Amino acid sequence: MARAHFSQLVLVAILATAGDSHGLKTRDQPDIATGQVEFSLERRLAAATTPAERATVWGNEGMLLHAQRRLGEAQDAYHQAIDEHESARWRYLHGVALAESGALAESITDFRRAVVLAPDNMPAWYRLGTALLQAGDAAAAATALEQARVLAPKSALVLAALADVSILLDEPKEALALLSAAFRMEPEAGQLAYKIASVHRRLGHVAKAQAWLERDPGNRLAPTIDDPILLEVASLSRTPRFYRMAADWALARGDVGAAIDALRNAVSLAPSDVALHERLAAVLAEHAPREALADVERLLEMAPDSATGWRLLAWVLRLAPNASARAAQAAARSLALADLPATRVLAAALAMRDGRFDTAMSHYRHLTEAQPTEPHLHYWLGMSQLAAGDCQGVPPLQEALRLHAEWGEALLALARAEAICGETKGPDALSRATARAAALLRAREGPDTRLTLAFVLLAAGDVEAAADIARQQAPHPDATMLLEAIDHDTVPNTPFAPESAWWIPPEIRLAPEASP
Amino acid sequence: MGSRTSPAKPPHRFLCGGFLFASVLLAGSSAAAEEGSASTVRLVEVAADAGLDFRHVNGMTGERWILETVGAGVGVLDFDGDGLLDIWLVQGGTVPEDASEHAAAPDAPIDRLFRNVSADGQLRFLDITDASGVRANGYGMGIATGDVDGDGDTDVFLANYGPNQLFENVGDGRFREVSDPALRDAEWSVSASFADIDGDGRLDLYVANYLNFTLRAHKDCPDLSGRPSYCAPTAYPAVSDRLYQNLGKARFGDISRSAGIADRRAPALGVAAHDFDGDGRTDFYVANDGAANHLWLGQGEGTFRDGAELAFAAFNANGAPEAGMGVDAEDYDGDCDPDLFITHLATETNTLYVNHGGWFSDSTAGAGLAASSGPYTGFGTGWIDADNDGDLDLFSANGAVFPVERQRLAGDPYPLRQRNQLWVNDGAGIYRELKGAGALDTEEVSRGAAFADLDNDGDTDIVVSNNSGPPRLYRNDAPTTPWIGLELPQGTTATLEGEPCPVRRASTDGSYASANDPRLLFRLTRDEPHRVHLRWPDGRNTTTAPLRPNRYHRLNAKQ
Repeated sequence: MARAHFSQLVLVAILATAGDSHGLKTRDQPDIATGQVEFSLERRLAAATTPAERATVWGNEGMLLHAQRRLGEAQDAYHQAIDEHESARWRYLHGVALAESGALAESITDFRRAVVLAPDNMPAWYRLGTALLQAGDAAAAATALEQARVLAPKSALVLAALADVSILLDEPKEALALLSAAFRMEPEAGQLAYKIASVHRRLGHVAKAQAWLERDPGNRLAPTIDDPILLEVASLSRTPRFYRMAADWALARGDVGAAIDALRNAVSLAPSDVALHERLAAVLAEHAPREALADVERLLEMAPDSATGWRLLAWVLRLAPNASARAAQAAARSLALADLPATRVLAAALAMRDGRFDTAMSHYRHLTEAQPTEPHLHYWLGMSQLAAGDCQGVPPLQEALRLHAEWGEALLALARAEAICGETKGPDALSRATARAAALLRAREGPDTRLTLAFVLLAAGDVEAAADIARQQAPHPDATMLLEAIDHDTVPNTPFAPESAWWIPPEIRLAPEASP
Repeated sequence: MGSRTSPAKPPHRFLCGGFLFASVLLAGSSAAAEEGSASTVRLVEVAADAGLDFRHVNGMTGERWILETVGAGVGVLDFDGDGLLDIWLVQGGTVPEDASEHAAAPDAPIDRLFRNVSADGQLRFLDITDASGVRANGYGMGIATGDVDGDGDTDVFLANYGPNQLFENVGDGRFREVSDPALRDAEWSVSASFADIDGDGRLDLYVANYLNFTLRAHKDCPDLSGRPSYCAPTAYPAVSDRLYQNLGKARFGDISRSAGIADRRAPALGVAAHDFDGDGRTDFYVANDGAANHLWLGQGEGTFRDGAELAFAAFNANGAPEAGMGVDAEDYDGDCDPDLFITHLATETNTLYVNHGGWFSDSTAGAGLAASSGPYTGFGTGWIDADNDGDLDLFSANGAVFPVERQRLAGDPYPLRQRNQLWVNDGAGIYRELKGAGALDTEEVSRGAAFADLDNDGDTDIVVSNNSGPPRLYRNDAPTTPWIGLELPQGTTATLEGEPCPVRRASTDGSYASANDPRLLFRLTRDEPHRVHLRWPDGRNTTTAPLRPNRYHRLNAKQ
């Protein structure tokens, strides 16, 4: 029955894979990965030459499924292993999988057989005893648990189970003695304190019962068990997916360190999983950039066509000394592999920082066409044009302000740009520009706003007033640039000095404001 | 004092006692008791033949909302006073966006009320929903029944996901919805219990509330291998229960805060009222899903304190909270105090809490109830004398809440099906599960279970409501033994003269989201008239005149 069922399971997995390729996969069907596991199992079985080897293949498959809590499938696989070549190991695990799925009565057969095959397997004796106890057979449970006690005389867990037998036999004093001994062995096991409280209540010691209940009320930890076979299963349960989820949860609660640790575990369990490497690199690049470079480089060695990897490399290198060319090349490589807005923004920013204004302008133009309602893209399109001395940058700044009317940076840049580009000609325009510059100054008093007023005054022909302000703000680069222009009886070519931080997009400022 | 002759089948003498073997005949109506067995269960599934044309709709769309797995219950009540218990099946429907939204489209599925028109031993029901004035169009979960306005007929409270509803029985076979704003609490309610907490003769109301869940707050909860699954209740915040005082004339006041229960948030699913500590006051036991259960002990003047932990009824024997679903309270061991049986999640066990005069011991394993319940997730449950041998057997309506692996792999779109279970009491308090290729072996997603003598033949039939499926009606055809039935005001306790125990309490609550037969059924060892000691809700004690066996007797506090 079990064998037939498992064959059906394999078939279902294969069909699910085929169905998916035709767009027929439903949410309830096994995923493609499952199908791949089954095929792999078939190959491994074919390679096994003896019953014992085939049993090992089936048993190991069962352990994998067991670790994923696919208990029914695990039972089937263990059953196959037992059919191929019975051993205490597979009997024991079959019993555990049954017990964990609630089939306690059925598990007794396996545990009985497991202790016959391996009489020194303490966990098997213990689980046989507890299963018998759940089945209500106190005498048989006591016999099995006494054998477990012989094998592990210092196991608080076994003593607690023997106490349960005593309770079932209505021997509360014996139970109390056993529990007290267990508690001395593992005082941190809160479950023991609860059991002691309940036995005191049974004995009529109400005050003692209450005292034991109040001892550590939130702690219901069970005593520990030394179970090496189940530890093996548990180690298999550390799936990459589990750690990926753990990382997401850690990030959600702001625990970046735990997230990075979890992702490192995931990557170590699935070293060929590019997506996991990308995720780890992204988290590192955002939160721990100094650690990120090595991981990004490893990712690119493994997956040289990973657009994410090249983008992350550009991101990590964007602030590194003497790495601007390499960063720009990485961004370009990433864009060539996948034209993603985040990558293009980064490439544009790098171009701005490196003075490649035409390249920056091209990127921003592309971006504004793709995302015409994003004011910051229009702003940087305008800035890239103005940086090149091109007054065609004014309309994009105006568009940015149309989309985001209260944006102070854009207001300031536009005021200066209009001043140097002759947009303030005529009494009305001049009046508006002066009023805007004065308003900026009132809103945020500082060198930038003061110098903006100077730009507007210069454009209005009030050279002395402009020069006065500039002299007061010297040696501010913009003030120096303004004074040089006044000396040459002209206006500056650009609204900000070439070395001004205003030309640096936020993506590549020292304190990152955007994620990769 | 009124009485009804009843037996559809002739009563005959049958010995009671402790027997090790039982036979179970659960499918064919012509099946006979197994030769030589002393305890015989005969449950025959007759829902379709009896006319229960209904299918529960849970509104699922493939998103695996936790809400869709929880409903719904079933109630039995004699709404038209003809002496036959009728059936109210609670409906779900399209899942509302949140609990404040009151359904539903005019053509949406609604609760259905079936009138019992059985005759000649044949169970028959007619859907009279439209004529009854009932338009229960909330996303229904549970039902509670009781005479809330003291006019002698049965009214209905519906626990909904969304505003709850009270339907007053106006006495001519019709109901009208009472618009009491106090009761229209928009929490996600599941079960409710009518009980008189202050001895004023009016039925007060305890409402068990579950979680704060909305579609917008839905979470994806894949299992460890990444496959879609349902969330555990811990994924959402729990809410607090409500206690309403009956102010008369079908009006209620929310006294949750003054009663002391408002500050305890827990995912409640089941509730049963009884006097658990023997102080003469009404208490409530609340089964919580994955959290400590509550034992609200009445302190007088409408106040309560939670005594579950010190009474060792909050956790199992290991001190662990379990996923409490359904609950029943009965004096199963005949020592004059009510014991508790709680149904739980698969891999846990159901739990039997034996009452020792106000404190409890987890006696599940010793009673033979642990190992057999481990593979199943239980919901509706009740102690009933299924084989008419005088002791209380146990029934559990089962259905998973997380996908059953084999069903999922087989492509079942709703892979939560499990079979139901019946355990027979051997007379010494040891239970043995009855298994066989019978009606109970059908795998469905069972939730509610109501226990009632639907054909008035002196034994207990069972109605099971299935989530996303049709109901099941298990007619009890076990050989009849002498009995007396009592129809009493809810909260009245009764014992047969000369037998101080067990104490039986007239109530309709317990199980899961369901309402049971309010009548008490006593098995007799002698087929002759018996006196009955009664303790009325106001505390008075009386003894009846000898009551003739094999019929129901309607008694009220004036007698």
